[in-house]
Amino acid sequence: MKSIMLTVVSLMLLPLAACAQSGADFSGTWVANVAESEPAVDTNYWFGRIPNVVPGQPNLRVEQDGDTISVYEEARVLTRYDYPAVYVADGKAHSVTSSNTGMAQETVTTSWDEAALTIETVKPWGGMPGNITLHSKEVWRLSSDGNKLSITTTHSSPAKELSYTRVYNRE
Amino acid sequence: MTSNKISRRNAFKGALAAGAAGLAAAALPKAYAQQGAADAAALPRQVGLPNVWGEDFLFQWSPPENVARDLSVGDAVIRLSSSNERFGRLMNVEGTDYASQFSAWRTAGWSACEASSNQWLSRKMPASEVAEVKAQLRANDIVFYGLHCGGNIIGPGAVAEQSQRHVIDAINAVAEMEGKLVLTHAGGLHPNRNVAHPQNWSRDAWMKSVNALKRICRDTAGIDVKIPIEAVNSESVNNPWAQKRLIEDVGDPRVGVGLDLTNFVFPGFAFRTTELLNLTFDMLGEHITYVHAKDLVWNEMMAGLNWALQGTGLIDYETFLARVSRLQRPEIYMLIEFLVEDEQYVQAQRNVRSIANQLGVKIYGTQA
Repeated sequence: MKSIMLTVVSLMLLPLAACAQSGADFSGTWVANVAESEPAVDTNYWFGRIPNVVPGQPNLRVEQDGDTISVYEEARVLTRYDYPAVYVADGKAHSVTSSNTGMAQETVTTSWDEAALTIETVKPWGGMPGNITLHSKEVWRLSSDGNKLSITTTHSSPAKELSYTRVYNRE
Repeated sequence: MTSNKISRRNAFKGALAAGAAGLAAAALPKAYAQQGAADAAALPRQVGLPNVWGEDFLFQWSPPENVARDLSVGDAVIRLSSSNERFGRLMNVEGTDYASQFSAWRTAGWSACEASSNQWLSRKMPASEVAEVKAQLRANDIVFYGLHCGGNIIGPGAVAEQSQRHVIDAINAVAEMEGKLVLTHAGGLHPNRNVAHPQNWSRDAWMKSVNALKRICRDTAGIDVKIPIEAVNSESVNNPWAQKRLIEDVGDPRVGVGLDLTNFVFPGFAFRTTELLNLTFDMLGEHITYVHAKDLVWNEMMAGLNWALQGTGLIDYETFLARVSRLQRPEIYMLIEFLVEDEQYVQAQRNVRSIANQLGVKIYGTQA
């Protein structure tokens, strides 16, 4: 009986152990390294009649408090760093309302995989009800010296899969 | 919160008293009010989606919270067709290997096809070739359902007469091919009907469209070919109310609707497509002869509505496909169109099939 209890307790502690392994520290300000980056695909706009890549590459500021990671993108026009995205790296699926439209629910799962941080989002494309399902996956990795951040993003839909990597230098 | 349900009764009730916002307009011309009461009572008088936050508020372009979405599925099976001239649109070209062509289309998931009237009528196809086309369509289980006439039946000068004659010729050609329909448009007063003319929404322009269609119907009386009208934003028929009224004013049972929801959309509808779809299907119902599958986004400072890949834009594709499947007939033809590259037709079909599959809507055949 005791051994069963120990097993159960051990299993319950596994997620905490996984968190404890999250050694990477992404906190800080990250300056876009455009030369080493690929253009980001804008998932709201698709077609060749208009550019379907996100213009420019905003800098990032990351705050990391344990497994809570807040990501601020440099706003292009107004105040800097004013729209944070907050991720909880607990490996659990969190339901959030689409920030783009407020009209659909997204499921966000953030987890550590050794030194990499993985953020997976499942949502209706464009945040509108009735659309195809978009699976997005971001993998964050630090260089060995901790001064370079690469984020590889993959968008998967029934139509196709799109992938690109953006690179940032620590300020 | 106000009711989210849009029924035909709700859409029409209250007539002039109810519509203050959006397109709405409320701007019905005086002439309408001066019509005979019996005539007016039978026709749609209010246009625009119902208000969301009461009549004393501004443009109500945002959708209500928690719009009711009935995604129940019907029995109609969708046959997909493509407007890609290199793969999926039937072309009248001498020497075509129809057996190989149709086999490739079916493998790619296209089980129906149409042709452009201009191209189709540009060559008189020999009777032996007509027979060959029909035989290969049957052998590959593909339906040729009709022609699309992009002319301008109320255009200035000789354009109107030429276009009307062209539609009449197209109807005869479709009958020869044992097709089902000829799609055309209400037209506009500018020579190019895709360019909006300021008087397109006048009573005079409306009557020109009605009379042109009456003439086409009269000159093709007895031919069992439907004449669905496709809305276009630059023309008077650019909303479901106008579609309904045109059917009533022309008064020929062959005139119906070639439903293209993106051609109804102005900014006030852009984020309310679930409601617009439900209202449209409630109002037009079985008048919908066949459907176009497109999508759109609003991505510019001006009212810049642009086409998007099917299933990625503002059209509620789940509601769209569910409502199509609930039409009361065994098969519906759905044209996937207005894409830029060949590969995008493949991607669009994948999206449409994926959404349909999740809902349980039946799409004929499979996509390789």
